[in-house]
Amino acid sequence: MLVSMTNIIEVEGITKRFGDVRAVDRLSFTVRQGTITGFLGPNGAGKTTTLRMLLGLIRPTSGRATIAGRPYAELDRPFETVGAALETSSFHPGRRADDHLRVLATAAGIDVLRVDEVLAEVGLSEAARRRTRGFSLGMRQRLSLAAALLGQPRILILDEPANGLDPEGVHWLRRFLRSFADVGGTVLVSSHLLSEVSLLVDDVVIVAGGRLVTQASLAALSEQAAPGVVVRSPQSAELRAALAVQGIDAEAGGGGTLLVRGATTEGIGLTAAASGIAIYEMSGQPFDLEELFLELTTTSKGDVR
Amino acid sequence: MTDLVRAELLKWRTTRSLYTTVLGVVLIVALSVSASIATAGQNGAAALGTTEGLRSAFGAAANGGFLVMIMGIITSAGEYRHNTITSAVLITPRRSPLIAAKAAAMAIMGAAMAIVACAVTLAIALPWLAAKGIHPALLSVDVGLVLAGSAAVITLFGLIGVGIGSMVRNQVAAIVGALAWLMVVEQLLVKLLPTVGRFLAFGASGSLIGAVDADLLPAGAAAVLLVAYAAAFTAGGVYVTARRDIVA
Repeated sequence: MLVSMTNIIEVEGITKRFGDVRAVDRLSFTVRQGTITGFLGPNGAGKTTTLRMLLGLIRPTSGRATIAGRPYAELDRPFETVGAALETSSFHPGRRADDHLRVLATAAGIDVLRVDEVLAEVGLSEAARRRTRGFSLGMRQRLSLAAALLGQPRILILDEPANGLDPEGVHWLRRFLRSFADVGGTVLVSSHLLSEVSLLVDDVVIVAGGRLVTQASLAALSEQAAPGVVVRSPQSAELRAALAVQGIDAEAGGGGTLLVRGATTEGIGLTAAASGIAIYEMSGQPFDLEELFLELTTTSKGDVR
Repeated sequence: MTDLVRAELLKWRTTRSLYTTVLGVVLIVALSVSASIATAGQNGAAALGTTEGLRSAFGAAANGGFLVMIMGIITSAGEYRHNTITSAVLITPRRSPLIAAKAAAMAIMGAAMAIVACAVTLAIALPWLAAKGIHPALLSVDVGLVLAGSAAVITLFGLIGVGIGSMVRNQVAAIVGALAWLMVVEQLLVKLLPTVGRFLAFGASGSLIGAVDADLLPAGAAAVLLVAYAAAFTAGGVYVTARRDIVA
């Protein structure tokens, strides 16, 4: 992988007020070149507004956002530097898919031969000559992505690209973005579901209520979400007490089960044996990023404004 | 810039609206010319053989301008209607060239539509007049100049439409509002309050298509005024578009 320490995207204290509403509030984060960064937050967290400010579509109230050191509007050939797919319904319903791309290529001064290439890349060749009116949400996502790829950019900015894709489509998107990043491309991809991108991203930027909650590598975030062990025992109350003596937290679940955090199955087994407690079943619970995400985004919602 | 103009023309060629509009211009002009000739000499309308009658028949070509103005509105407001404005602005983040390209493309299409309108007018009026024994000279004030004026009106109204569509964004509201303003408000003002009406786009157009009306501005002044309107509306579109948040 060609991950470098260069920050190719820099957002510095960006704020956007719509009337009385602060959609984005002094948000700062960076995206390293050659990485896939997940831009995560619940619906209404300000993700789309932030991406639109990054792309020069919305004027920030204050702060600045740069791509390769310059605001988007000051890039020499913006369409060939950054490919963006922001929404799924941005086509004239009566225009064919290939004509839509031909219009964009013509405007950007890109060889129209690229049109057939990008349609093939996103798997839309067969629908190329159809009007977009009848396109499914998944096909719209693919066409938006095709448009973003026209200028062979090294940076992709995608707003909820997995929305409306079927599981196969999500799998395809994941592989596509991974291979894009593997050859040095940078991807900033937003989602309201961490699980959707947790298999894909290197870094995460989490926002809620227009503010930054955390920016971290996925690895660092995963460490925060401690794995647990589910234990089933006829003496769960005694086991809980015995674990507490050792400073280990356990939550009571249903049917005589305990969810134990911060301990291994070996440690729990030894503690139980020393106290003469029977255990029927133990199973490792994988760390739950989604739960951590929910925790992070809901607790920080309280102090908005 | 040429790339942007080519893209704007391609946008029209790749939807059916262009063909619908051409058909619309043919129909509206054919109807207007036919109505003008058929009713000449009746209910106080000038007889065909007179200067006024001839000008009214050939000036009917200018009615294509309403549809061309709608085309101009669709050129700009349609981008918001279908959210294509986002990709257009991503390609042209400074935005002013985008509206300039729309205006340039609209001038080309408006001129083409004007040629269609004039051709339809001649194709209907000349044989019809000939059948009545009237043979007007083509290169005359009453025919050639009136058609040239009509062509100018049609083309300039396309540019006004581009400006309106950029400023209003809501395509339906822009079309309905513009047509109501022109056909009701301006038309009434031209008739009832000519001191104001002569300076409106409708009054200037009337002068350009040779309407016999002493209250109107002279053709030269009217031409300058209508060009100024087209420029002002386009500039307004550029100004508003450059400052607006594209939130979609």
